[in-house]
Amino acid sequence: MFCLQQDMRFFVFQEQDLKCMTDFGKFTALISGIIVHNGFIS
Amino acid sequence: MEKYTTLSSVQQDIKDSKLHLRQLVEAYLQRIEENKHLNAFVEVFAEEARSQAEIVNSRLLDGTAGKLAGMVIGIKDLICYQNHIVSAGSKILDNYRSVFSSTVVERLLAEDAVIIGRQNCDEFAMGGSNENSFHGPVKNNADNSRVPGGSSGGSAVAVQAGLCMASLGTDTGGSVRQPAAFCGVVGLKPTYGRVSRHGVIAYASSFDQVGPITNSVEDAALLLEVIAGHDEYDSTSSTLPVPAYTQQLDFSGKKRIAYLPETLTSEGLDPEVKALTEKTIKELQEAGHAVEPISFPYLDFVVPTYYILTMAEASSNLARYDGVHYGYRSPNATDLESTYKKSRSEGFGAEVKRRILLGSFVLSAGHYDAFYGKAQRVRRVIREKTDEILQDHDFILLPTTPGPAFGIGEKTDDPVTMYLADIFTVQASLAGIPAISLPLGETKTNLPLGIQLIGKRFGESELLAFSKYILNVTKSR
Repeated sequence: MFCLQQDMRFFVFQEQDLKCMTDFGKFTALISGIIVHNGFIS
Repeated sequence: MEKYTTLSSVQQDIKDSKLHLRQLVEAYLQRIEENKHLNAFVEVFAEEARSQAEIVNSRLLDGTAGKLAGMVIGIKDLICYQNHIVSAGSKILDNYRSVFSSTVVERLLAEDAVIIGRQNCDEFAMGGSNENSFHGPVKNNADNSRVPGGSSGGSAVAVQAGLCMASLGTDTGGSVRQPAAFCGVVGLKPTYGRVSRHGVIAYASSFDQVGPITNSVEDAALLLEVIAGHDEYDSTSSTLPVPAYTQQLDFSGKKRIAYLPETLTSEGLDPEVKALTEKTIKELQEAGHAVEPISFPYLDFVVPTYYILTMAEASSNLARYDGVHYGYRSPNATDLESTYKKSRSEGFGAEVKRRILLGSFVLSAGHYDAFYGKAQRVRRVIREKTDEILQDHDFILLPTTPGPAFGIGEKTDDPVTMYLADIFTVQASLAGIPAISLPLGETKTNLPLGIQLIGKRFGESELLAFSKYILNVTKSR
């Protein structure tokens, strides 16, 4: 979450809005699948 | 009053002096009032609809009326209509009055449609349950404890409950087809570029398309015929001529249809949805069509690819809502920075914030190549594989949703599970090709179920004709 805050520092919201990111880990797990799939290395 | 389900029956009764359009409008207004608990409409244009009905009725009688004369239609609260509020289901645009009309609204009015109101939707079209609206959740008319789907939930329920004859929704990753399936009506997403996006509040600009939600395939064809076509205000709109869809609805011959076996073994697929899909396949085979399994090995990648790309586009599109240009401005702001931060923080709902933050994460310098760049390449692979299937087949058949409408509040704490439920609709969105959801069955507890047909790029004529045929084939069940 700390890294996310660093990345988001320029993104105009308030600190408390990061509460909506409680599922950040689940989301990155979901999207990480596409990184490792060999079929998509171009 | 009789519940009219097709425009042709309304037009005939008006011409035969059995009906005045004003009576029909009054009947819809009364039904909207009686069904306020569904929360399908966020605003009703009662007086305008009444006066427009008088004008259109006269035109019908003197033979000068447009193609949509007699159609009483609702528009999703994301589609701009000059001098009318358009809030995108968000506090940040609450009471924002549009200064111009979208191209689709102008085309509806030019053909004498009566616009009866604007319909509830998920905030900025982000959601699959219509629980993310600033105006409150919409209820499914088949079971008020369940969601109508989303994001065009109000538009689908309005047709389902007979509050209007048809609706215009928007579909980014299934937002017309999924609510149509949950509500037992027809929902069409046209080919990307077939319909102008001018005046439609943007969510993900390389996906968004306006589509009709109707009781019948005939009305979907007619609405598409009216709203489709090139528009100088939308450079992504196609210059291909618009076929006369309503004149090409007669189907004959045999078709070659692919179904994706991965969809039938997909985790979380409801047994009743699976049974309905298998039954539809069998019925089409018995009718002489070639319906065959074609592997689509990328099914597990469609949802992540879709969400990476749409969230990235959303984070860019929604940067304009800053409390300065237009919309909500926080009364607690004290300087420029707090105006931006507090207006956005107080104006956007949780799901929109989540998607903006995730979108900026996948676009950020350290992650751009790993996520956004990769997702663009995966999108190309999905599109090419889908086009390849459609080179040898006329259509792809698959369920619209993994299950029937779920309970209100059931999935709100688990957004990733909610995203995964889009697994069957996002393929056509990623590929930019047309797809339609048809109400082909119900669960044992009478909840509607939809079957989806995906067609070839700009192949809406064939798709609509075959859809009409399928509805007739399955009527005899």
